[in-house]
Amino acid sequence: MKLYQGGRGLAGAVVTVDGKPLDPRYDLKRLSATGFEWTYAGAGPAQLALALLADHLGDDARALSLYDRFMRAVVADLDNSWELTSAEIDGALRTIGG
Amino acid sequence: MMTPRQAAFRADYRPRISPWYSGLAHVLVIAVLGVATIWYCASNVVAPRWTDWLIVPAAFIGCNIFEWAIHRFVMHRPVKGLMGIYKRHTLAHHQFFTDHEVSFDNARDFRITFFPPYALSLFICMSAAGAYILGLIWSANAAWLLVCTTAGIYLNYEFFHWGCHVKDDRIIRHIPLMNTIRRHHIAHHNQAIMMSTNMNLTYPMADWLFGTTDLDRGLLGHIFNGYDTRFVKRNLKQVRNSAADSRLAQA
Ligand SMILES: [Zn+2]
Ligand SMILES: [Zn+2]
Repeated sequence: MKLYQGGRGLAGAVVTVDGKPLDPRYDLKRLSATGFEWTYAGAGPAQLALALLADHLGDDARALSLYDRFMRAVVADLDNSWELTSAEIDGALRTIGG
Repeated sequence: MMTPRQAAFRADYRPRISPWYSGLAHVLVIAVLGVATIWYCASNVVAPRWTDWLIVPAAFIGCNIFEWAIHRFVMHRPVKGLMGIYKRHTLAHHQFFTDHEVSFDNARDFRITFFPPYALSLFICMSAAGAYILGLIWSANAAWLLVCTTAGIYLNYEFFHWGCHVKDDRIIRHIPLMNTIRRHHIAHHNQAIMMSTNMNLTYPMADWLFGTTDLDRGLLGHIFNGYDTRFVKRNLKQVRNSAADSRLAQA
């Protein structure tokens, strides 16, 4: 079970997985020139959705096919400071039909 | 009551403010620069025709939309080349002030309340560029009046924003327009809606026009709403997966 955490502060909009920085996976797709963001639908949230799914699923093709739906269903509603577990991502993926 | 996260942010931020910083000097520089600009431009207006005055309401409306757009698309979005504005606002101002605790404690907190003075200088330069063109195609009087109006609205913006974050609202709550923007802006500091709702900081006209308001009422109702919460939308955005440090301790 992994724990993903995000928060805004002087260091930026920082996201970690089990305490280590989450790879934005620009190698898969560069959706945002300015890193992660959340609580709305847009470029930064899309990059975060892709990075979360790629790390969680370990399947780049599935992450690429699901990130937009996941961004709108989950990332667009994340709080200023948030926590997501692997189980919660699985639950959200079932809801969006992934 | 503050969340642990907000308290931690304040404790981390305050020691970073230079010991040389003076909140009073910060406000004075903005006020002197703004008032001097208005005085200088006004003293150059000579026998204006009534048509020259039309620039004042036009600039007023334009500034209201500009203020809304900058807040919505630059201050709350990471945009390459303009990241400093986003960092100062979303990553600092909105972490220091939330709807749980929206007030500054003393004048040193002005560092994170007011824009740096170069922002006013920049806006005056932008306005002067527009005025130069206006002087060519319309009249010199209209050009001077344009800079007067934009500088005045800037001072209005900073004064109203101060009125949103000052602790004691015994007087402000009774001042029309100022009480409206205080409620409007404190609602904006709710982190669930801050990225897209209540973006005006003077008069909530553009928020009404573009549907980014937390109120469900007409334009005049928006402008003179005051502290009234009867018209607050019931279906405002809710957030999920809040971290423990973002939640208030249960009583
Ligand atoms: Zn504010
Ligand atoms: Zn804001």
